Amino acid sequence: MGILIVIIFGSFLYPFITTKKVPCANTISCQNAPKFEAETNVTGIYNNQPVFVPNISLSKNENVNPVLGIQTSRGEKHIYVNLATQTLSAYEGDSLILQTPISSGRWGKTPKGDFTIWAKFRATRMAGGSGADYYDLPNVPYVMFFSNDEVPGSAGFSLHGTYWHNNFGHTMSHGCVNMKTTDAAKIFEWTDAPANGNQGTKITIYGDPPV
Amino acid sequence: MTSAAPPVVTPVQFQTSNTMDSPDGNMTLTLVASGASYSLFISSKPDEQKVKIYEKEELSSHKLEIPYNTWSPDNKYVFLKESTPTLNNYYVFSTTGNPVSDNAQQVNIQELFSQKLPDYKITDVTGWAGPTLIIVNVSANKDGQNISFWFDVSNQSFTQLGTYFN
Repeated sequence: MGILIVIIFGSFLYPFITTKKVPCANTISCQNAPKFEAETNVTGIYNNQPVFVPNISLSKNENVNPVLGIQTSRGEKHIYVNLATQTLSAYEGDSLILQTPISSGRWGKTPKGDFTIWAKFRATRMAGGSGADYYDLPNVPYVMFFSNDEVPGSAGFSLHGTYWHNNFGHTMSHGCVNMKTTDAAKIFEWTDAPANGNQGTKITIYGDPPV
Repeated sequence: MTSAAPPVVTPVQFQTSNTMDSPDGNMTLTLVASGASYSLFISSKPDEQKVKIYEKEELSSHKLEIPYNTWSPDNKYVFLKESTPTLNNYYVFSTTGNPVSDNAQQVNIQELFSQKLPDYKITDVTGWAGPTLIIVNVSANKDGQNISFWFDVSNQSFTQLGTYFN
């Protein structure tokens, strides 16, 4: 009887005892809840180099070319990120809306699995690393944070635009999915954040990145 | 966790093109081939007026192409790939049409690399790690080991990296 009680009690506690802490995508900025943040005429740091930081335009007339098929929905929206080919594919039902190279995690793993977008910000600041790996990037554009039951929103993983490198098709990030800013803008306009009791757009990340 | 099965899609090969927008969408690089003659143009939105920054007559066995990651992240530089029967050259240009260095309109990464690091051969130039840093993949002549370098356009130096950008 005593052994049975221990087994039942242990089973109840197991998910909490063995829950692994998910590493944060941006070790400094994810210490606080993400928020919209845009600065003007600032400089970033990446690879120990100063980086020109584009100002964020919040004009409603901002020139963002819409993704195909915005007038008539063709089905459920779903984004697939193939880490092996470093490619993002966006679907509405069976219709491929956009396919483009991305850069997933090199200095930190991009998590795999099924996720949903839990928040979208037109811009935010991302910072992390230390020493030679330290980076501070204001005005990261078109940020779409995703999460699931194992990778919480507080871990800070997202799809977003990229102004500090242009090496898409190769792993480059600390865990996020980097996109060309023009592609991120299209996806940002197309995806849905949670609303009216509905979850945000689904994202499936799969495959093993090149070694 | 069971993941949703992704659709079977053959990714488009994102290699080279005769036109490429900058990652921020504000500028366009266009390579026009007319017979053996190639001309390189830069244009900016919204006026789209093309400004020629380079032209070259190529041998029939040679080909100029715009790689996918041609633009530096700050739009100040682009690089072209020239395929020849023996090796590939990679030329870096300033998008203003001004000289890249004190005495050259363009920089040939292959030429500089072979002079400074003759024990390796370039296998690919993949893109930009920063505003002036180009990622150069090489293999060692001795044992075929794959290594990546940064080529810094600002001082034309090569820095060996501890990671290989496959």
